[in-house]
Amino acid sequence: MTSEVTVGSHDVNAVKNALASTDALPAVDVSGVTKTFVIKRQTRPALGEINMSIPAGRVISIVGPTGCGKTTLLNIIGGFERPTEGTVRVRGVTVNGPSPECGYVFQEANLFPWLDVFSNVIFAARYGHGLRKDWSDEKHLRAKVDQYLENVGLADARKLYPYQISGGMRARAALARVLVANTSVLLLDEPFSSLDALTRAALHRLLLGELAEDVDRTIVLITHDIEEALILSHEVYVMSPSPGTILERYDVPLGWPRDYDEAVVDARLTAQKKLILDRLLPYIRI
Amino acid sequence: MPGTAASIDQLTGHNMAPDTVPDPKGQPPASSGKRLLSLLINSPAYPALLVIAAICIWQFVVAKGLVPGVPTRYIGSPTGTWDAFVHLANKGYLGSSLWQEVSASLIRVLLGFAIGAGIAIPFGMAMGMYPSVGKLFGPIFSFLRPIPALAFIPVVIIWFGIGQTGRIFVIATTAFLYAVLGVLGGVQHVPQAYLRAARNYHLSRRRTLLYVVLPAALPEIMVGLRTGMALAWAVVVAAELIAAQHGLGYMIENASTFFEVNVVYVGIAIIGAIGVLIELGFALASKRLLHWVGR
Repeated sequence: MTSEVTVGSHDVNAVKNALASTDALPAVDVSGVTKTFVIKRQTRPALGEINMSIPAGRVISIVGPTGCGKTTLLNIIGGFERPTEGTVRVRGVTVNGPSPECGYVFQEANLFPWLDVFSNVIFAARYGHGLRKDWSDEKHLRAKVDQYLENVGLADARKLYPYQISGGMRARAALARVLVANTSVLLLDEPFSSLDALTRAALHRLLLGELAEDVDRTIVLITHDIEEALILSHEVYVMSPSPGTILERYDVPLGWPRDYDEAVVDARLTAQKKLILDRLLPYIRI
Repeated sequence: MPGTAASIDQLTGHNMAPDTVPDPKGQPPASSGKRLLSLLINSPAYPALLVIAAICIWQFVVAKGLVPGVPTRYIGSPTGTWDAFVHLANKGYLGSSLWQEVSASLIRVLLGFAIGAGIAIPFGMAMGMYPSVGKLFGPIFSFLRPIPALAFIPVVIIWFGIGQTGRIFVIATTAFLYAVLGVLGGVQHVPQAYLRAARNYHLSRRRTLLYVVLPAALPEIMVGLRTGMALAWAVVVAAELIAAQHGLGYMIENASTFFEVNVVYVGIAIIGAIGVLIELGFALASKRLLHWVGR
């Protein structure tokens, strides 16, 4: 890993130092994190005590019913919200605000409407600060962006604006944007939940293909789709409804790198889906 | 100029005519008079027809001497105004060409607007980004904004004398006070999602402002600039009351003291026409720059 990090703050320096010495540390370490919201003078616990340790290079999913605090947990890991108690460390550094180590993909693809697809995808890498750069200059970066656009099937859409493309294409562009930025941790907040089932399946296959070549990236995926969680990750954490706590952690019994077409018909996966459903269904009130 | 007015409507999407043209089959049976009226007001040529009709009525009233007690030469007439325009275009006004008068006003407005808007953009952005700056200056601008530019002129003469500086100051202040509102609103309404994205990519403050806040706020900034420009153009007459030697405002003021009412009308018509052209320019620029808005 060549890191030509432009040092702009003490934070970045600390990250760099930690990187050099601590490959054995978990990429993301959540210890004793709780979150309580105060709404109209009433305290409302959103997260019970959460402990997670995610080794580098692992893809983990967090599934749970709507409103269980999944997104709050991801926001705390990403540094967008502060925990009420406890700490989050990313690569050994305590999270104290958004870290350049973490790339975030939001529920809505969240592209800038005033930029075309190419400019959106290159944006984070070109203007972002403190990223671990794996490109040498602008020309190299542009070639890299073109490569990723090719990979996600958007080569012909590079000059189009977000309003001119479909939801699936926007999701792919958002994915390409965060992959190009080359952060060591990816936080995905239900990135495919607004897409139809077929588009979602196509994106699962695409993402597995991308991840196969990219073994040292740690990913935390939030979803309420158990099958999506199982197909895409090494481990699945199951959360209870509010206040959210981790009910269970499951190892997905499939190998890695993973072939989408095999995974999707694997009987072990179906069995585990049933297991997780049984664990969650008692909490679901309809 | 009514033709141009219609095309502004089309550019800005305000013209609802294509949607509201009555469908004879779909509508309940109406009297033929009502149908004719509805056809007329929905026609794209309606603004032009309205102006032509007004001119005809005006000419008729003046020609027949239908206004009791007022001499015709104080009312002016369409033909008289046209004659005055042809005369001004050929011979100029008091020794200087009509274009000199127009350009004197245009340069003043453009210069004043450039200064006012040039300050309003960074200032409004600072007010939006730092709430304390907004709270500090907001009330001052709210106090100044509704005061007519005319009320400032005696003070401006005391401060700057009767030179060009005072006139430009009045125009720049007006442009600033209105443009800053648009910039401030634009910055305050930048969607959280974009700011979050900027934070996620660890953009520096300068880059966040330049590459996220500015483009996201641009729709409202354009509205502010448009209002600022329209009002800057509107106060040019007031500004030229400060002992100007040239300009449309000066021409109007001077002509009125000599009861040259047709010259006054020519001045007013040119101010209106240029105002429409400026609007058209802004509409074109918005269409190009803001093609993504609301889609």
